[in-house]
Amino acid sequence: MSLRIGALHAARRLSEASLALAVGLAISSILILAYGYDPAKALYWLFYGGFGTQTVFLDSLAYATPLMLTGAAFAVCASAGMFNIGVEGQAYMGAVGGVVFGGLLVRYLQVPGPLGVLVALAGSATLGALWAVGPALLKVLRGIHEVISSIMFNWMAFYMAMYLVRGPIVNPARPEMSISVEPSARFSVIFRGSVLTEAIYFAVLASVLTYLVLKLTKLGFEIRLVGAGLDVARYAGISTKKAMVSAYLLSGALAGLGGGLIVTGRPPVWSIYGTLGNITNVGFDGIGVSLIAANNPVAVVFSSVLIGGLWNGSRFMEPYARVSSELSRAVIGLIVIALSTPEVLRLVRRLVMRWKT
Amino acid sequence: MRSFVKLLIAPAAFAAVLVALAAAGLSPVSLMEAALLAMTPLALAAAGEALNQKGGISNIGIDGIFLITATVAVLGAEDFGNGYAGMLVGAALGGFLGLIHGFLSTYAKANQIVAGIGLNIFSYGFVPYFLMAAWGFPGIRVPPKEVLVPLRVVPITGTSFRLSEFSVLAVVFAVVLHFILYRTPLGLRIRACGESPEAVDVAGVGVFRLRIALSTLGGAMAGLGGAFMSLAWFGGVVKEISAGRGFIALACVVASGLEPLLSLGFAFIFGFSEALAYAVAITPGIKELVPYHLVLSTPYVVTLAIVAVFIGRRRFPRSLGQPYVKD
Amino acid sequence: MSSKPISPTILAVAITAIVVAAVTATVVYVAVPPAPAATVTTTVLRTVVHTVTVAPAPTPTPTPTPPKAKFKIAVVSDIGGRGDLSFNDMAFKGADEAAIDFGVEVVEFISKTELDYIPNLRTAAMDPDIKLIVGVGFLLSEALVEVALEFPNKFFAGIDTYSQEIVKSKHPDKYPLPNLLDIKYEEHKGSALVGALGCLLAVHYNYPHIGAVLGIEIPVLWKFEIGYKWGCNWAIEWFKKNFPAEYEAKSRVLGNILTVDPKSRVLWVYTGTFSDITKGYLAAKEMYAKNAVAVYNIAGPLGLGINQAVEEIVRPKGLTVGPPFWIGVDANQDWINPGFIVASMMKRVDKGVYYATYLVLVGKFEEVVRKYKGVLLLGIGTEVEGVPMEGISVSTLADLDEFIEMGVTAEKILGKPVLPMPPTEIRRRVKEMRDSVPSWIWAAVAELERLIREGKAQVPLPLTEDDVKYWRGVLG
Repeated sequence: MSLRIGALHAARRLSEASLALAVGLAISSILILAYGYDPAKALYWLFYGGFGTQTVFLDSLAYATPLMLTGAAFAVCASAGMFNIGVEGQAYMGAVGGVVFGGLLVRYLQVPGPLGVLVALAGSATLGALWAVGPALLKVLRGIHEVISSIMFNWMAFYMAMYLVRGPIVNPARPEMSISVEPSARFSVIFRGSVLTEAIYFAVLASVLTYLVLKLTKLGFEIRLVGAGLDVARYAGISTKKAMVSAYLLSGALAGLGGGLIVTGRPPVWSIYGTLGNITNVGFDGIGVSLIAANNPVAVVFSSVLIGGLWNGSRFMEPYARVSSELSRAVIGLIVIALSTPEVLRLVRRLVMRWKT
Repeated sequence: MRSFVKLLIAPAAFAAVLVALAAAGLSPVSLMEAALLAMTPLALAAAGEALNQKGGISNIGIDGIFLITATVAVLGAEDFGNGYAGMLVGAALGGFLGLIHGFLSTYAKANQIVAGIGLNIFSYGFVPYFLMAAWGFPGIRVPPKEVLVPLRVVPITGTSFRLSEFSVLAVVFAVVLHFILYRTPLGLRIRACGESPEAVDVAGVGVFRLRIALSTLGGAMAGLGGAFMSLAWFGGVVKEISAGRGFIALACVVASGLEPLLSLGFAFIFGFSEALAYAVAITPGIKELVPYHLVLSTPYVVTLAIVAVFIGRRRFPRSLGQPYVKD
Repeated sequence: MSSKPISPTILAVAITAIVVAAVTATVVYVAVPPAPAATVTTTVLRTVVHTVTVAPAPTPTPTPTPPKAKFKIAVVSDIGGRGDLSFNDMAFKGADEAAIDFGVEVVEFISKTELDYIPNLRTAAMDPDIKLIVGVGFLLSEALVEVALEFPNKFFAGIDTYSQEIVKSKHPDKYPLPNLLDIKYEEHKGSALVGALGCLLAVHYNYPHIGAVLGIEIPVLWKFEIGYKWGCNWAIEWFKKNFPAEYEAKSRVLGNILTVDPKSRVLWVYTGTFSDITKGYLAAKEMYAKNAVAVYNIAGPLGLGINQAVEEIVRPKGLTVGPPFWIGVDANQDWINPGFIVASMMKRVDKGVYYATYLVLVGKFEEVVRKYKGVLLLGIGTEVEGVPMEGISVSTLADLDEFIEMGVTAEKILGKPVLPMPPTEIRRRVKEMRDSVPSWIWAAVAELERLIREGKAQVPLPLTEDDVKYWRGVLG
């Protein structure tokens, strides 16, 4: 694909995404209006809170950081034509892995400085990938649709992580949470007064690397070929099963890293709460992020910032506009629905164009 | 004949399980009550979705439909002052959501899985917002008792058994849909619609219209299930009332190979394992043996195991999940 | 394949479904009245303040003069926020009362996830009008320390938090942090009281068990769990000592709690959630199936699930009064289903929030922090600056009115029923229920309360995993 066509493609996609965002916000405004709130006020605080000042924008980036990885994780599988809804559970296990490696192993081996982070994240990636083995094998060996199996794995991961956090890896001094990762396995805060840490560099780097792996390597080529259709891949002489399992495991590892970045890159506790509250939904939001980004890992970086901003900004809707902050998730859902139907979007665009001329 | 014997194995094995549990001190009556209640929303949704998928559309947004209808049905029940009216509101709204999904999946040529995921994400945000907007309390609504759907008491030798008429309805639906699917011309058309929509189209049957109708039906049945959860089962709604049950209903559909009757059986097994998990979790002494968090994850393990075992020989419609494009 | 066009039946079905769906959507849309601009509870509470027994201000202090500048307090809730009818709602209740009495404004921040704690606290602290920030819930401890250190000019109070302990271990030079106050409660004592109540009910009505549905296993809940079990055992010892003949008789009744292995008297389970009532329902249903006479709700909104399990049993039988019962928590929940909530273990979070606001207004916040090392303990028989200030009690008929009043006002604003029946009917039924419970049971509970107050009964206070393991070994 030449650069010019690529740019055109990206521009079209961007316009589609903005249109979908507009559709999402419009329908949400109707919902807000329907219950007697003020949509202008709600949306003002939503965007002000997400992007309005430097402080809040930095926080938005912090919310976006783990989503970049869970988003990239979903994107990898989507490239192979599979829907890894299991990123949620894989992220739980990744957080557990981060705590086990970054807490226990780093302390035991006395791993210094930046190396500790890598050890912790190695644990996250490993556990995330391990948790993806089940659905991957069920898919290629038994033909079970990955959406079904990975939802079950998500719930098992939920209870498993809860059991581990409450039991084997509990912090004896603070039994409501797991042990924390060691200070040498933590990303440092970039600006005082914000929760943003250097984890964001890692997340951006990982997303770009994922893109390059998909575009430039043989494995990436095979994955994309499988995604283009099983028959095509088979004619090309590719082991589709191997490519699918590889995509799934890579996806699991990335999702695990997403969970790991929460325990290594988010103050103040550097651990998992017994409620799992700080790691829940990071996977599901990543799915939304990836779908908005047309499953392109580089575009994922930008759509995570958008979603992270909506997420952070929604905190302001409650106190200042009296609108339930969870509505922001409904906006994300509407955007995804709108994007699922390029036909409708194209129709809307044609109508808008006609109206304009 | 062999299939007849097979048909007897399951009930016999189940009876043995019940006897064993009774011997272990768990009340079979209360287990069965809980199992049937847990089965109902799954069975309703699964039967409808089985038909929907036979026709070629797959709707993974069932969990979202469960959530939305469970919530709005409570408002309907309160406004009409009647639980059954609330159930109808749930079914109608579910049908409406199914209709939208059907439209998106046909005329709009949507990616059905993406649209379904979008519906789920939307519901996770819409429901807390709606709870807050409609009742001023976040995350929870418990309607007055008068507008709930009561359980019926069936006297069974010495003990009374509490049962909802909707559980019976779920069974009836499954049987009726099975009959429609395999014994009527309409059923033939539905199956053809999923296998080779081109042929159906050539034969003059509107593929889109049929698929939309099926999607609406599937949505309405899921909506009935969602309303059942809040109005008949739990007597109120919380923002995570579905707890992933929509996906379990999907698992029942897939494991059954899109057979309404078989999916009913799987729905019951899931319901039973859920009831059993709680019965076991509170039994004194068990906590030292098995961590209760792991006990609570049994239903999901069971579901997965069932799918893995039973899916082997299933065949799915050729054009399932594919947007149909007319030449 | 027949070449017939699509059957008219299915077309009719489809069209009907579409029309019904569209009409209903419209009806639902039209039927929903616009919500009031302010959240309901705020307004509700504004009107009930006069009925509230306000936490006593230490000795005769002048009422603070209304401040000239805008004065706001922020409440940063735990996950779930308002509407749990217990913990979080009690915190907002206190803030709203302070708003009326002192003329301050309340800003609420609801945390969607634990990741929101710091950003929410910080957003609140950066608002120049907000002087006091209250973090509600144990899990906010670390976040409170972090932000309190950053904003030394703002005051921070935490409910159930142990922030000062964190300061002590991480920043010993700053301990106690002068702008940070932890407000803690003696839940174990209150739970012991309702545990005693529950067990004596089981003895009286010949039931084998009492139950406890707990939320997520965090140390605060250990206090509830162990206190409850301990109270049960205390009650049985008490019964044996005071009614030896009846004890002998009841011990021979099959299925009475006296015949049950002492370690199996209390059925309990941690459901792993503070929001999913379905889990409360499922757990309680199994407990009642095993003949638990009362189930203690230790999971906020899950009480509604427990209530549903009770309803399923009592409605077909047409009962108007238990057994079976359930036991409320944090707030007075007796009104939710009058006749079936035998009592509630009240944890007056509202008093803590109110008092913290008061301290800021009179300028004594730092003084109290210094004096009490940053920790305010409210419980049974506790005092602050020589004045009794309690935060734990078993609900009474008198408390009931205060909470009914809340519901009455909510109904006026919403135009929808909030209370299950008219207030007089609630009062009548709760009274009827209380009268149906033998007076010697209430006397026993009162006696235990007296003993605790006088320090003659020591309810175990589990603080570590080992404590809990030990007490589970002893009590089951």
